[in-house]
Amino acid sequence: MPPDWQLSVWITSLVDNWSVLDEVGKVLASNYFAPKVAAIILVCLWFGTRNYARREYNQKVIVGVAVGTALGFIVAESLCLIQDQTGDFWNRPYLNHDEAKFAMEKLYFPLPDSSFPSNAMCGLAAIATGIGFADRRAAIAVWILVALWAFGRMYVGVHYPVDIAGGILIGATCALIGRYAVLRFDHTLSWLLAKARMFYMA
Amino acid sequence: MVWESILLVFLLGLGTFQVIASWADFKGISFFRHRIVGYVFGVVLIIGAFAWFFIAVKVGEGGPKGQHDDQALSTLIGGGLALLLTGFLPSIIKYRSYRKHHENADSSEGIEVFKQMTLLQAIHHRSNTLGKDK
Repeated sequence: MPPDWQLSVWITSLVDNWSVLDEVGKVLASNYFAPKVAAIILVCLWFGTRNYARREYNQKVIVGVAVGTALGFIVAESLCLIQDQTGDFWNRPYLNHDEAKFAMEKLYFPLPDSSFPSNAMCGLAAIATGIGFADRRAAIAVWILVALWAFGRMYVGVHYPVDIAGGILIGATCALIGRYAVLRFDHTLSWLLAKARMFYMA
Repeated sequence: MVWESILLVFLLGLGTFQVIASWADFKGISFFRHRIVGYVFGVVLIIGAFAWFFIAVKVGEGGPKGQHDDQALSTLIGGGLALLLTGFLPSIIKYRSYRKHHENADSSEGIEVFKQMTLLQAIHHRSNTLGKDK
């Protein structure tokens, strides 16, 4: 049992008290709100930057974000696979606590993989960290999405806070590696963006 | 669930591209003459798409299959369709208004050309330029 299990029990015990909060929690926990809004922000940065030179810089940053996010997912999935192999499986809250089980059954659905780390947080934290190099306001907006999605996931009983923290840490670290990789291959990236411009994609 | 997800991405993409067209003054991919109309249309489409999806579609019912497996597919199909419509629809509805303008256009690169011409005009303009070079 993770050390922060009481916090998870407290959050999931809020379910069924306010129907509005339940609906909001369901929306926030789903894969259709936070990732889609983050994608809109990324598309806006890619195509919508007014200044030509700044746009190319932002596009390079976004490629770094993509590299970092992919790397983050690989690390998170690998950790889940290792847990599968060793049998030292980190159970989700709904398997350990009645409050979380009730929350999951009412608002969400069971997930088959390990609770730690949160893949969702890993991906979104990588985006939030990465686009901080391009636009601070966009980064703040995505960090707010991270917080909302994290709350949603804990509210419906599929993650402990430590899963969220682990996912964010992995995602942020991988985003920095992605940023470094982009700086390292700047010339190749400039060439690729020139090719993308031929197809009106950059 | 997959079809609803594709439609959601399509509507979000369409709305986002119209907001971008208004913001960056890309007249060639805007559906409208006035920028303010593009902003309003884009924002209403984005908010409306989310509202429709979360009210009409039971997001929890599909289970992990409904939420995870269709993400890449819906992004690819919905986003691709939104991109195609954003590129080609203004080429058709703005054909006359931009017909003379694009003949004098400079040789901007990439999406920068949409400040002066539509997608089909840009393709036509480039093929003409390449023909003259040869």
